[in-house]
Amino acid sequence: MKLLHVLAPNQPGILARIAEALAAAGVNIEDFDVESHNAEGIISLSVDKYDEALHVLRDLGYRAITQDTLVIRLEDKPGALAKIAVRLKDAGLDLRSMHIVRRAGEFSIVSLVASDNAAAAAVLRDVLIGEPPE
Amino acid sequence: MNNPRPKLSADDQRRLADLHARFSRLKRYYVGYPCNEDFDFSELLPFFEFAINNVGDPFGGSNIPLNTHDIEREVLADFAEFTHAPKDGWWGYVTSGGTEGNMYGLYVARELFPEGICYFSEDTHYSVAKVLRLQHTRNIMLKSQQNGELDYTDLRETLRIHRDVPPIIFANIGTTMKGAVDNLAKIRAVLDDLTITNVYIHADAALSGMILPFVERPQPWDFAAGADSIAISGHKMLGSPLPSGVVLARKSHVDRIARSIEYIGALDTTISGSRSAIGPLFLWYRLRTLGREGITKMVRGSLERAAYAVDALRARGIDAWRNENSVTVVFPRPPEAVMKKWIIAPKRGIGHLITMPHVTKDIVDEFVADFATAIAEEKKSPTP
Repeated sequence: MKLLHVLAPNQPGILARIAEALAAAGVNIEDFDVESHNAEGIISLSVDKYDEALHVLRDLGYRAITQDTLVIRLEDKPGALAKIAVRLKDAGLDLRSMHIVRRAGEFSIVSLVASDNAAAAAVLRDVLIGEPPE
Repeated sequence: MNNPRPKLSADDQRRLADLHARFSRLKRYYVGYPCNEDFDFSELLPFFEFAINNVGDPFGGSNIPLNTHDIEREVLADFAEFTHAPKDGWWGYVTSGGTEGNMYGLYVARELFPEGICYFSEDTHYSVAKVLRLQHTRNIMLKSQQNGELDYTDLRETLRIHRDVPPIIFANIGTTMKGAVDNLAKIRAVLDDLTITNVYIHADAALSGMILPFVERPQPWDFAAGADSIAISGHKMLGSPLPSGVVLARKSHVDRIARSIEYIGALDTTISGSRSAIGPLFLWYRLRTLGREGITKMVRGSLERAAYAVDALRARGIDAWRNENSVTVVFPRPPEAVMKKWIIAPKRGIGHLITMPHVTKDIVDEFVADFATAIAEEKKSPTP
């Protein structure tokens, strides 16, 4: 099972649409979780056919973030990302990239890649969206 | 004796004719991308009978005499003047387009500061993230202001925490969606305030690099404002049927990285191997036929039509706006009916019209009328 996050508008019927499309492509959803951030929703999915799921989501026009990337939620304040970088640095982890995926009102959804994502997930547990990678 | 010229079948000839007709039909509605369609290069058609190639450094020698290196150097000299490059202190080449120019700038930066972190705003073109990944450059995205310009407070707070790591600032001189300019004077002020001296600034001036040199009050954006390298597209404001661009960098930086690549047995720091010799010829032709006066007139005409489009849209109740010195007119995402007819590039909640030289007032009027009608229709029968 592999995890992916999907950014979608916080509207009724979105999850059903995604589930239906994945089922039509023969992809099984083992587990899912939905977090709402104002007008945005983040759907975390565990699926058996990872690449097929990514293709389906892309074709539906949704942005999917793979499990190679950590997704965190931060307050939309100047320097908020920099503070995350410091926490990783203090833990001896190297930050490779950090991108704002979406700004949703008071919060920003951010994806990041560190030298050791599992260790980074443990450091950032308080702001992490979804389950940490194994 | 030449071999007989191979001919297309009747079916394929029809296909070409159909393709030409399709492009001719679409041309009028091509208003959402920053490509000038108003050009005539027929005088250059005879050059299509040669396999010409500008491989290597345009300022070095070439084993292929069928090149346009001399023409390329003239083009670069014009762009060096437009960008206030230091006299005898710049180097550059004609690229395949904006992305290669940005790649070159980031490559020079990464060679100078291997441990550096690249900072870029969330309004930066997606290709930059690809380049950074390709070059294994560490990077942090910064917030943008509502108008698409870099959030200087976020830059300051982020740099404050990473003062020990040389920053590589990727500045947008005209963002893709909103035409916003990251002000190099403000960026320099933040760096000075934090006493950061080891820094590299690359300016992605794809579209606005051919606008700002020709306006009365440009935002600080070029070498005079502290850029270390600048990439400008050739096929955007100047116009060309083939994508092309120009990258210029401070010569001292290029000389340093040229020394570091001597081990490959060549001092050529260009990214490509074979390079187009037609691209420089097209740019040279436009620069020579228009002249500085012609380019200024063309750019100011586009800016006037952008102001006209904002007024016309607002008069119909559509909340349109634009940044200073920008030909990109931003508005809320139009109804589907508009996007079926007009070639525009919506992203999230916004769309834009770019008043390139081929987008006449007549075209703006038709677009505004269609937009207003579609909104009225939507109000009459809202989508479920």
